[in-house]
Amino acid sequence: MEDYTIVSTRVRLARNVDGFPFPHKLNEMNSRKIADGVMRALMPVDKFTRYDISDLSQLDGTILQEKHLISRDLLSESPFGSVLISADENVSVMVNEEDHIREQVILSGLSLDQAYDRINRIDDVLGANLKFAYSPRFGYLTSCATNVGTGMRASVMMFLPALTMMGLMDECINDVGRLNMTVRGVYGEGSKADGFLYQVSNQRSLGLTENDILDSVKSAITHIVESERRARQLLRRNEPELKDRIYRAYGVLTNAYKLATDEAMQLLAMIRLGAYYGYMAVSDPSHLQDLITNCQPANMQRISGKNISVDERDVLRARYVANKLGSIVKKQV
Amino acid sequence: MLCTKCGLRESTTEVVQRINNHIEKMYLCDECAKDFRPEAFDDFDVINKLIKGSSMGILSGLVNMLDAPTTRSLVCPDCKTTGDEFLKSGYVGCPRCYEVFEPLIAQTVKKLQQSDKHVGKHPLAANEDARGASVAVERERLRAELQSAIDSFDYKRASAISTKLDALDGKGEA
Repeated sequence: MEDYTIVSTRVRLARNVDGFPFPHKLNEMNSRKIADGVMRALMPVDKFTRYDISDLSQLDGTILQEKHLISRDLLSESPFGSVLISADENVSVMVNEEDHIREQVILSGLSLDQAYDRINRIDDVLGANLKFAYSPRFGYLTSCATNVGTGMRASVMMFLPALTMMGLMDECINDVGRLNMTVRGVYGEGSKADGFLYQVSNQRSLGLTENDILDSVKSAITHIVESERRARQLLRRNEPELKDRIYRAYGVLTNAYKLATDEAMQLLAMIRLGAYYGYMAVSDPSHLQDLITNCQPANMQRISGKNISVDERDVLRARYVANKLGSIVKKQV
Repeated sequence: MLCTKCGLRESTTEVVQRINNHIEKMYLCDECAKDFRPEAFDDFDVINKLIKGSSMGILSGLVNMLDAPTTRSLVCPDCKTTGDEFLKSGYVGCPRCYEVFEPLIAQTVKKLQQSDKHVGKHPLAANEDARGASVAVERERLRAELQSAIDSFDYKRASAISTKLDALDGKGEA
């Protein structure tokens, strides 16, 4: 049963090519060589589209960032960076970000094993075509010592409204910190977790096998899901208040004339919570997540098909959300 | 000369260290050299290490350990990153840096990751057989390198290779 706690799963592997300086010391010619090598290796695997950051407009880059297909660092700190994205947008391979290669798979729901299997197969193909920098002692060598070893980060995007509203997030972060996990806001490190969305991921990448890491993330997630479930039960003790907040959110989303990104995120979070309690019937939870992604500024701009001001964007967002919400959510009376 | 520490065995190793601008010399036997641990890495520089040939096992542990403080001033010949730069930023410049600053990186990584030994996937390991095969290839390559280092009396390099061989076989403190 959908519990509206886990949104998506991401597994990434950091790799570098032997014999080349790491990206912050790499010139343009060698950066291109690596991107070309990655592209050649991946061609037989799937249909990948390559984008070089230098050729990408700010808007197109931000759209990819809002979809979590590239990082902020690739966009703003990596002049010779590139990204290769699979046709289904589940796989993206960033080239010359902090490391030469950052391979990642994003799948919806809790899919740690499936995500690792897919990225591992891609990694095997890349490894057969490129000589990865590796030492028997330190494992896969990375530009920062915090990623060395497996080079792996497994993260799960979680929706934690009850823990947040009850002021229990700090406690939760401390608890999972003891399990060597990190909790961050979804839209950027250290940012306020808009829409109660958090990214939970492993801290350690060395001295553990890939399966150990997956297991440790799974057990942290189980712990958090259980805490959130209990917090949601407590929240329901004041059901009229809760219901009112959720119905009001629905009211604003379907009737507002203007809607800013933050407000849309907060109100859509209430709809998601309403779906958990059965106050709202949602046809497919992944449509809600798509709606959240499309509400982000650059994606809204893309949907408009033209250059629009912030005010115009807010008006368009209100219309867009009201329209979409009608087809994916039904208020239960 | 007898070992400064135990006073029982013949010394094989000279350790000269600077502690708060005061130079202190020690002459250690193989046994005491094995157990020798500098207490405050940042406060001293090891200036000199060996006076006589020593057995490989001891050499490997000791040289690695003594390298740590001096590595701060080392420069990677490939990318020119210095040990100090690594300590300040946590970043190295190229794969070679991991060899050049190995003791320093091991120390830092151990603090961050609670381990300094990789146990996960190997580049050629699409399956376990491939992993076994690639480890065997790497072992042969290291053995040949070790022999050539011994032949050219480059004991420092030999000890580093020996540590790698041990790590490959899952032996010793890696």
